[in-house]
Amino acid sequence: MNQAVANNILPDQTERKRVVNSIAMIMILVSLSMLFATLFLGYSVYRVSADQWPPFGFESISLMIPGISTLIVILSSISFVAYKKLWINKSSNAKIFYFITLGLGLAFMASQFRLWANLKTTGIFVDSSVFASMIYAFTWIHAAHMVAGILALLWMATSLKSDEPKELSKMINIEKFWHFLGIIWVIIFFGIFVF
Amino acid sequence: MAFYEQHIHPKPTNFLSKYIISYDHKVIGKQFLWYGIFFLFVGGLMALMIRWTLAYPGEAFPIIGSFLFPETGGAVPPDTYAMLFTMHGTIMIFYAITPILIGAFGNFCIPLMIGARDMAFPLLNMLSFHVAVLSAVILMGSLFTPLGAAAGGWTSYPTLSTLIGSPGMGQTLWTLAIFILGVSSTMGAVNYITTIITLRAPGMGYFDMPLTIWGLGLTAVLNAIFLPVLGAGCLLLIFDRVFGTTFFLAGAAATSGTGDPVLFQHVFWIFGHPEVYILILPAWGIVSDLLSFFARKPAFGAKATALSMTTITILSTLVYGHHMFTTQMSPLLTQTFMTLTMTISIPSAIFFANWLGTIWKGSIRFTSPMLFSLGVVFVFGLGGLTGLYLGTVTTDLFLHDTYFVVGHFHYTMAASVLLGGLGAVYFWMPKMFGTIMNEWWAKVHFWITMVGLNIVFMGMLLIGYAGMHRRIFNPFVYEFTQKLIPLNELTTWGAIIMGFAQIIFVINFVHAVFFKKEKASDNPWEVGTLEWTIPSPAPHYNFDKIPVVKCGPHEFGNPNLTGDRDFQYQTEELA
Repeated sequence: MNQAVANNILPDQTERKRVVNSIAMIMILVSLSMLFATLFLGYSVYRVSADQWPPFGFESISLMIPGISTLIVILSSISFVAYKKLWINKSSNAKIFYFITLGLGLAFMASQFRLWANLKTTGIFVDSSVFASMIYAFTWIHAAHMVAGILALLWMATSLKSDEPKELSKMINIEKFWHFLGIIWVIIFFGIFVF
Repeated sequence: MAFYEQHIHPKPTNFLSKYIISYDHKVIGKQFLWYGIFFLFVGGLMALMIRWTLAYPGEAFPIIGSFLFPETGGAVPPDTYAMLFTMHGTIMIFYAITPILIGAFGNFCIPLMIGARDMAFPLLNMLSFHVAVLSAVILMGSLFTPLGAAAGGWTSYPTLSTLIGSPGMGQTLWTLAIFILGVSSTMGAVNYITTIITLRAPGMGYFDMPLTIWGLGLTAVLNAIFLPVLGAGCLLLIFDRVFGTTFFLAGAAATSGTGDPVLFQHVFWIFGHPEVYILILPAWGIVSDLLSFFARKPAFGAKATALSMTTITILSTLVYGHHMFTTQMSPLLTQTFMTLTMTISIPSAIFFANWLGTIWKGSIRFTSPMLFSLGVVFVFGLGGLTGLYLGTVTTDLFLHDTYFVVGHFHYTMAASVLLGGLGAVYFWMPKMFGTIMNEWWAKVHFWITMVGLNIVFMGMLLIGYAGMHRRIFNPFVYEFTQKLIPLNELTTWGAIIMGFAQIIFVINFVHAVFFKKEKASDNPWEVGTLEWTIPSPAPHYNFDKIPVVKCGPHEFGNPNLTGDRDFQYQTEELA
């Protein structure tokens, strides 16, 4: 990297600043990975030491809503990539993909609220058992980060009007965060709901 | 070459922008320093109350006892005793050592020593301090809740820390405060790492960085990776306490399903073992530099020191099980953890030998920072060696949860880090505040502290080896501990001596910061690292022109030096 900078392969200041921001974002994602990894550690301990899973008296959660959430999250990542591509190419269609991404993010949150409501109607409350607690803990903590992601998307709205290079830096880093949340959700989906 | 050119901030004009919402890393460093010194006082007072109770159980704590505990006529009540040792540990580790070593010197030294104008993210840096203040307010607030503060020990093991062990708001607020502080430290860590990677002055490779920066950088890596682990544990504990989940409850305590109390211990120590290195690594780095600076010799094997610190950082993540030998772990696992723990002695021995190699045949200047550094070498040696007995399964089963453990971690985490931190305060004082502290009183401070500190912590080791357990309100209800009362009294008097010695420091410090007229020169210690090439105190933009680094940080005694100078600035090139 240093070599590249020394040889002026990264020419202008904003591009260099972008590298700096990316390094910081990667560190933040490493931190957040450890947070979720710890939750998964706990989950696997409970799961492995349980006599049966789901515990007696509980049925597996219907995959319907979590499945929809997964689909939404994957689509939102794709539309984010599309937005970035079109924005770089200065296409007039870019704006549509910004709103699609934002809409899908909000739809994901709606699906989460739907999931919690469904769990409650089927009698699965947060204090019902470790099985239920784990589902709530994972979805709550993930949703809290999702809210941060949506706020970041709103902050990124400045890119709709401006095509300054610093917007790209912002976009690239929010994109990293967004994909990260998507990946975490997919792991939650398979780790907790499917298997 | 730094990744990008940093602009010079406009000079702050009013009080608010200068001292409260400052983006300047030096001001944020000083904010953390005052914050840490305040909590050192609070935590130290608590320590004195604990020690007083152990030496004179049931007797009124002198002077302020009757004001604090009117219902018992001034003696520390048993439940308050549990709160005191919990809060003492928490405050000292998270609110005193962390802010001083990492918050204050991390912020102050990193940009100055690598030749940058500020951190990579000044706003994030400022927020990190403000979040830390929020956390401190919550923690201090917990002292005034109806059932009192957290009382489950600084480790907060369930079931002590669940609603069954500690009802009331205190423990919940404790957990919340630690979580928030974790956010603050992670923000700081991300900033430190990015700054070190991207903003080193042109010409400065990683091995041209002072070892202080190595220590701080490795600490930041550990912080960024392992604080979230504690964060996850804290979140689950909060869920248990607030939403009625049963992650950490088992048996009859868990009304619905069953959790696992020992899981918290795993999570805590996966974080907790790196945490002890988080605390000590900056002190190691600072001492490695100061020994070279005042022995007027290049740091012996500086590269090896840096690499051994890195090795220790990596190994520290693999040994946490040695805190849990008594949790009915499989013997195969205990032996694995024991072996890995013992492996840490190898890099430790390397840099310890390097320290001795550095001062060997040096023309040592016994200034106050040097005295404190030599103090660290001594107390860390003792602390490290007592660690071997605790890392070995067979001896640990006997010593577990005794005062021997308390003595050991006070020697490593309290004594070494405190002495290292004080040495750093004396050393960077001219660059921070533009004045130099009174050397004579600094030395008096050192010797009294050193004597007091060794009486306290050596006493703890002996008491613990004799079998006295930690965290017991009145251990002398047991017949075999009654013979330890005189030793406990001696230990307490050591603590009192050490406590009163700090008054010398506070007066010296406050005098130097606010009242001293005589300004320090730009480079009073005659050292060649980058921060000594600029005026004292450092101007708000640090470097008018970003320096170009030509040599390492510990260049002393080069025969090509001209004049009566024996050191070489990092910006100089000699044949």
